[in-house]
Amino acid sequence: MFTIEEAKGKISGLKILIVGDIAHSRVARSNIYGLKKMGAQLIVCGPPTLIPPAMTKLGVEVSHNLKASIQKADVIMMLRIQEERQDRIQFPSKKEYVQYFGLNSETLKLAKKDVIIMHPGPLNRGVEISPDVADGRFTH
Amino acid sequence: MEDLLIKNGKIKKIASPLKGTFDHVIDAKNCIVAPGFIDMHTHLREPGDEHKETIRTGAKAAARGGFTSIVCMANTNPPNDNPFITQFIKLKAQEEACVNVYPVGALSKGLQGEELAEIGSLKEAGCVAISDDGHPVMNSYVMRKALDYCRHFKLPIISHCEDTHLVGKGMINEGLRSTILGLRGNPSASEEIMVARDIALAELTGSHVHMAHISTQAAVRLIGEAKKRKVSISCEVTPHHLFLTDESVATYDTHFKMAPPLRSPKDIAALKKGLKENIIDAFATDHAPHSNLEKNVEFEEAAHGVIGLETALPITLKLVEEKILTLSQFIEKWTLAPARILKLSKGTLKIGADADITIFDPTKKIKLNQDAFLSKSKNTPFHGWTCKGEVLAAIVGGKIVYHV
Repeated sequence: MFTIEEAKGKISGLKILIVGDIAHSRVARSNIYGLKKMGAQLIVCGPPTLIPPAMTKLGVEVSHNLKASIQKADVIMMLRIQEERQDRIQFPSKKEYVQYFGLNSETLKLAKKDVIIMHPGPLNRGVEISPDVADGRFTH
Repeated sequence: MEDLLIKNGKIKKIASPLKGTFDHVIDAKNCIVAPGFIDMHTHLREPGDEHKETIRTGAKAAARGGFTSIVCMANTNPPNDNPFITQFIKLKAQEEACVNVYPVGALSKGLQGEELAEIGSLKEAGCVAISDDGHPVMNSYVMRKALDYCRHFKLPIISHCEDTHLVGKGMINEGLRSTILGLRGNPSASEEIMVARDIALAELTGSHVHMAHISTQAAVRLIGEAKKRKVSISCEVTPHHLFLTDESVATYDTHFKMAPPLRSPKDIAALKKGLKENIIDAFATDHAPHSNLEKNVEFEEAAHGVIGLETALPITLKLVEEKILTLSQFIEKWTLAPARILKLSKGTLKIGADADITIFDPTKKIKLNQDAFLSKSKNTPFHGWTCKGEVLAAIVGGKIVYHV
């Protein structure tokens, strides 16, 4: 939250997109509670298998379409696939996950010009985030 | 009586009468001119089992049976569980099939029911639905994840509803006939359990489940109840489950062996009632070609399945004579209903629609004869039946692909 405040000068009114393994993420839950309290709007995005069914009841928008959601976002927060927490199958393959939910320089072209990209780490370069984006100029 | 004009592969005009000069005129007097029939459940066997059927021969059989679109299941060898196989089927169909071929992608890798196939890539390659047909997905967790995952891609899942543990080695309906013959029984509960489970999972996930070839009274009851609650489900029924019972197995004839098995007269009555009340959405053939190598063997050893493309129309037309369905309901269940379930822009004769047309004479008596089939396989349970309803022509995209 401090990073967002520092980069954007505010939190209230921002659209914050959290992408990836929402189901197994403590980061996502903390951010949803904290950022909502500070007046931000939250969108969570990932395959339906990685988004808990009652997510909308927490007051966040649910999306399964990264390309559509990315256009609205002031802040994009990429989460890693938490394989150690997942039980069996959640999506067919990393390849297909990357195809639909990986952030790369192509998908990033759809984003706002002043978007910032965040990641709680550790990064899985080439999965949720491509190396060029991970080390690119939007990353905080 | 009206005339229908086709131009550039599309339906251009319907008027009475059409005036002008035309390249080609078909006289369909006293016949029914219907939207092209769609078989939403076909096994084409290519790649892998080309001695049973190929994309070319399956399409020819389809056209002869009045089908202008067929939907082929994923249990080929190798199975259609990756986009390369889908692309192969699409390319082969483009070159060799005289009807539209829509592939179904596998739900799980290798049809093993354990890991999800790359469903997104399958959709992008051209699959219109997802199914492990022939291999019921026993693991409810996998089925749930597949349903969740498919929601994103707006693809229906087609479920082969049988609890394989309960089926065990059962191969005909469990009842008096299985007792007399000494063949192991497959109780109707095996279907009932899976239909109930899939309804629960459709309700849980909000995704659509289409139940293939339902065969039992219990399935009709459960699906009817669930539809009242607006659960997103649909189902199909085959000609053989509507007109044959386990009594047919009396001579151990393997042309009456399929999964699910032929059931009882009570089940048939329920299926017909289900059609009448629109609980059953669509017909489908479950065309499952097998050669003598797989069929001319002991009953226990024989492969499951019968062919259906070239007999389906006259057999199901009996339902109109029996006053179970009106003629237009009959046509809808072979056209608009499957098109809706699979979101195909087919099944209609609206102006501007693809000129896929089936022309049949509903009163013409014919004798079903396996020797006349264009399918590579002859495993029909209806050989020698006399029925009404002859397919006179099948037109695909304005092109006559079959005519008598």
